Amino acid sequence: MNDKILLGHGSGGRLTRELVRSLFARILGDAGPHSFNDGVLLQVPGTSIVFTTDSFVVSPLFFPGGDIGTLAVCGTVNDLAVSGARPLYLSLGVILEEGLDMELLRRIVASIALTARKAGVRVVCGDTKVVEHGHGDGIFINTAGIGILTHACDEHTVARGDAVIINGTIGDHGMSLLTLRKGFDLHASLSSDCTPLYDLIRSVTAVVPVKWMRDPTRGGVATALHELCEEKPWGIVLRETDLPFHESVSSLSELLGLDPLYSANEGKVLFVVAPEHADAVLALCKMHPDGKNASKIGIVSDVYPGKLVLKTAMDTYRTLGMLNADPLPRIC
Amino acid sequence: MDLFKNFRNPAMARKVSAEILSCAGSRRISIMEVCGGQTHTIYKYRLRDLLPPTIRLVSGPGCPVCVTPVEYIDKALFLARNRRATVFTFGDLVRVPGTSMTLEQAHAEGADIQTVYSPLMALDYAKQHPEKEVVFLGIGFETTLPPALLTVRHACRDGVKNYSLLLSAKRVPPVLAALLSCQKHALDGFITPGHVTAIIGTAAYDSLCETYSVPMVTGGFEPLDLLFAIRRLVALICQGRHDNENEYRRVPKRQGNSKALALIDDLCEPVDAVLRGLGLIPQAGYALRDSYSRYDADKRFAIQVTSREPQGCICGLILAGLSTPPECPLFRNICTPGTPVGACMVSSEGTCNAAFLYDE
Repeated sequence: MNDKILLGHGSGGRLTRELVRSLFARILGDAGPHSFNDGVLLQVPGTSIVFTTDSFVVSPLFFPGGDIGTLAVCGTVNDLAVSGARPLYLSLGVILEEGLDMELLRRIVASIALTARKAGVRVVCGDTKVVEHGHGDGIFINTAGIGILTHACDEHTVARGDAVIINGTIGDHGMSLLTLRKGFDLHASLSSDCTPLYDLIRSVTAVVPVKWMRDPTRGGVATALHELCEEKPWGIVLRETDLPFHESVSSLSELLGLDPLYSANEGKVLFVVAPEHADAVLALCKMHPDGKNASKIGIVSDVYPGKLVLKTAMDTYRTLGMLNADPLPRIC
Repeated sequence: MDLFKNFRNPAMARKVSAEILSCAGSRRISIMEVCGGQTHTIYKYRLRDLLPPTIRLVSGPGCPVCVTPVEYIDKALFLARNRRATVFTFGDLVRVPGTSMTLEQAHAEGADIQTVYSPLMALDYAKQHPEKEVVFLGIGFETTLPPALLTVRHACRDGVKNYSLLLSAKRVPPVLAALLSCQKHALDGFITPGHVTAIIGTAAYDSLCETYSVPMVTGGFEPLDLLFAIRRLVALICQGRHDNENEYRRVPKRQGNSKALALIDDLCEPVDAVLRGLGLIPQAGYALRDSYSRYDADKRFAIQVTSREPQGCICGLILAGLSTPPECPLFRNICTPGTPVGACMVSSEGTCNAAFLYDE
């Protein structure tokens, strides 16, 4: 096999077939498709199906804690999981740039296989295209996912006094990628939190009636909660001193003048539950490896209808708005 | 150091807040915080909520991006687009509108504009790409000037021939003197900028306090740093004193940073400078000395620009402390961090940016 991606790998001919069979199928193994027809026949137990899709264009392709392959699985299975579904099947569409190292592709597909197994899903269909050198950023991935509904949330049941809980530290993924992109090597301890969340979510929803959940990816915790509060008769008050941050995230964001509440997460879920269930959710999260640093970060309040409000460390209150534009790191 | 315990302690804040109230009584007091970083802390922690309504905090001109005139952005655009130079900049600057476009828009059109965190990254790039003309946008007050000058010193030492600095460096004391002498403000005291003071030393304000009979207290950037500075200023104002004091003693010293000052003195000389909104101020800027003119982008390239300040934007009045963001008709309607008209909305140290983000 060649050691670089060639335009011919997207031709639909022999090279494409060789790539699909000897790279994708071989590496995906039991996490991959059983046949290579135009469509796949799926057995879906239960009746309500959740279907979603997401595209991945991350730079750099590899980062501490994962790579574009890990993300391509986590992003889609987590969207299914926070929709209350057990993820079952994924599609995998890849757009490769001519000249991409075959070895890089192997590593990415191996991550997809590993993460798919961890998430309990199978990649059942896929597509490969190759674009000319200079017309892509190495590799772009799209995944679509199908899951069956196991827990239906209803945000209309959210009410004053409800607790807002997160399963761990905030902003790790966004800040660690920023660190890498901008060539800071002083924060080697920081890595992406990228992980499939269904197992943790299931352990919570099996016991507690969760009213609302969301994975705070792009736009971060503040954007996700802001969307929840919009046009509601209640708001949410976050307590700054209860927000869990990795030490490196705190210091880096102070240094750069960025707010980690708006930084992306790829292994975090926000739960809103009735106050009497808050302790149970915290305990269930802490029993799970992906919920060790779970915290109750806020409360639903009717004092600030429609708003997301931060009670600062100084006991003053200010609103947290929508993210307006990509934050710019400051000069000094 | 635990910031939450030491400098964000709400119990201590309430205590200091009560002391400020009992000292000030019903007296109306106006205090200017000079630095944009301080402005952001004030908005971010809503420190005004901890002060009596009779104490007015006025945001000053200490945001380096904000005081940089449109002409400077136009020059940077000229270098990137007309001279095909590789332009390196701090992130804040890329969204500041020039007369025709921003650096971000020029980048989208194919101009080679790169953001960095350290000026030395620009010099490294120049060394690796001797075929390219590399320019670093050296803006800022005394704080950001030394690292920019270090690149010139290193370029000189290493014989780098394709690197230059487009310098627009400002000096805080002459700017404060200009504000004080125009007498529009009726300011009772100043919180001087902690990081600038770390370079120039607290002694730099002695003559200002003396000449204009106004007290100055150097303040830090944590919420309690600022409350301490305000408490001290209120006490000085109520006692009718015009002392120059330091409430940020863990960083700035009386004589400043001698290494940085020597570097500045070696490479630069004070010159008159234009600040957005404030106009031409005597001795308020720095220029590279003639012996370093080959590293001076202004002299290296024949830069030709025609510049125009944005219509309707009152950045100038805001920078001078004469208006507040909500008084601008563009604020929040047309001018937002995503679609800024003036520089004060762009920079994370800008007053309009802080008011937009934190003062909903």
